[in-house]
Amino acid sequence: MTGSEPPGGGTTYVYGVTRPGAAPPDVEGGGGAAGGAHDATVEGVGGAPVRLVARGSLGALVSDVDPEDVRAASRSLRAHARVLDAAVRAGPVVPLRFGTLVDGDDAVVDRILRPHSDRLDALLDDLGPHVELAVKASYDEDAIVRQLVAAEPALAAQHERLAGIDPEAAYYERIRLGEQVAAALDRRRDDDADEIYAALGELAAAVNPGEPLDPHMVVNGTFLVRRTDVGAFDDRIGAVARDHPEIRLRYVGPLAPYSFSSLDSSDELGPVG
Amino acid sequence: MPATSSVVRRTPSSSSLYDVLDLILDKGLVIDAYVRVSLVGIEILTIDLRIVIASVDTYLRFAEAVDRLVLEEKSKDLPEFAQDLTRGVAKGKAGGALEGAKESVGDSVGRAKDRVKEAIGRGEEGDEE
Repeated sequence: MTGSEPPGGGTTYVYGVTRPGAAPPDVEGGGGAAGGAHDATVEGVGGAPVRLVARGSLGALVSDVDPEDVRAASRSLRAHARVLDAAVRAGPVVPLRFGTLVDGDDAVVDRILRPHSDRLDALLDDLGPHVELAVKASYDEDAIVRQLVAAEPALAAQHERLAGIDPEAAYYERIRLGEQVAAALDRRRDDDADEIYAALGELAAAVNPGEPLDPHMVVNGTFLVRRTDVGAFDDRIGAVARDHPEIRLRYVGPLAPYSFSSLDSSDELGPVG
Repeated sequence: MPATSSVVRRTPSSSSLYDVLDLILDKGLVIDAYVRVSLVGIEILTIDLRIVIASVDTYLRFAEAVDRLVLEEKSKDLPEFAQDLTRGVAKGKAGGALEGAKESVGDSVGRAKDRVKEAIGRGEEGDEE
């Protein structure tokens, strides 16, 4: 694959599907473009400008790509994310899986837009008024262990029993203490996770609770939130932070609805109980 | 109003590789079998990212964390240099389970990234439908 192909004639990378009138303004062929030359086009994977391939009410955000360029995984992933970040700010978008390639622009229409037009239309209608927000909540270790020892006399008692004993000699007893801390942490995490998911879930149309990535992680979830509720969600995050000084929050968005986009996802929408 | 107003800032996805890997890599709509998805090995990555450390090492680190924190409580009355000494020794020894966990996740992201690179390299030959 060389760079000598005309635009749309070689391999085409497809980022997502939007409405032609709601594409980011700096996408070639996108809505709101000032016409003529664009000197600030969104750069796609490998640096090529992002274009819109439209058919009826659907528009695919695409760029020409040399499949070799997709190899640079971290750079390509960032480019993928950057294009969809811009798209979700501009309007509704259904993100496609990273690394979706087709043979040229004709295939964008023939393989994606035409055969799936009904479901893509439905997804854009359902997801369009929303954005995805991602929340990771993790305990600060010192703060949570301090709270656990204060709250559970059994931990302090076990620690007292080991005081003054050579750690090597008390090896199994120390493991036992660690197990008790871990068990107390599990109970505490379950309670805190329930509370945080309930507080944030109230403001979400759908919730995707992910697996915690390490023992200190309480919440690793994504939330589908109406655009008009994002401010309220920000405030709720602030309230969680104030209520839980022992928890550190990582809060990312607005994201394209990555976790809520599948061809049968319409049944995932709606309030989560 | 609480004294500390540690604002939690919302950050865009493309700012961090960690976020991009966790939130984006294996997400999004898969259209159909006719579209070439150039990535294989995504499942491996997902599993790597979700390593949960529940080992004897973790328990020992928790025990050390209790030691360290109780020591800190008791050392509050000591002269400052002794307190620093105690804390320094405890910190140096214990390290901290949280840091360990973070390192593990970081490592696995790094490994996973390498695997994605390999996977993409392999996939390129074999991704024709």
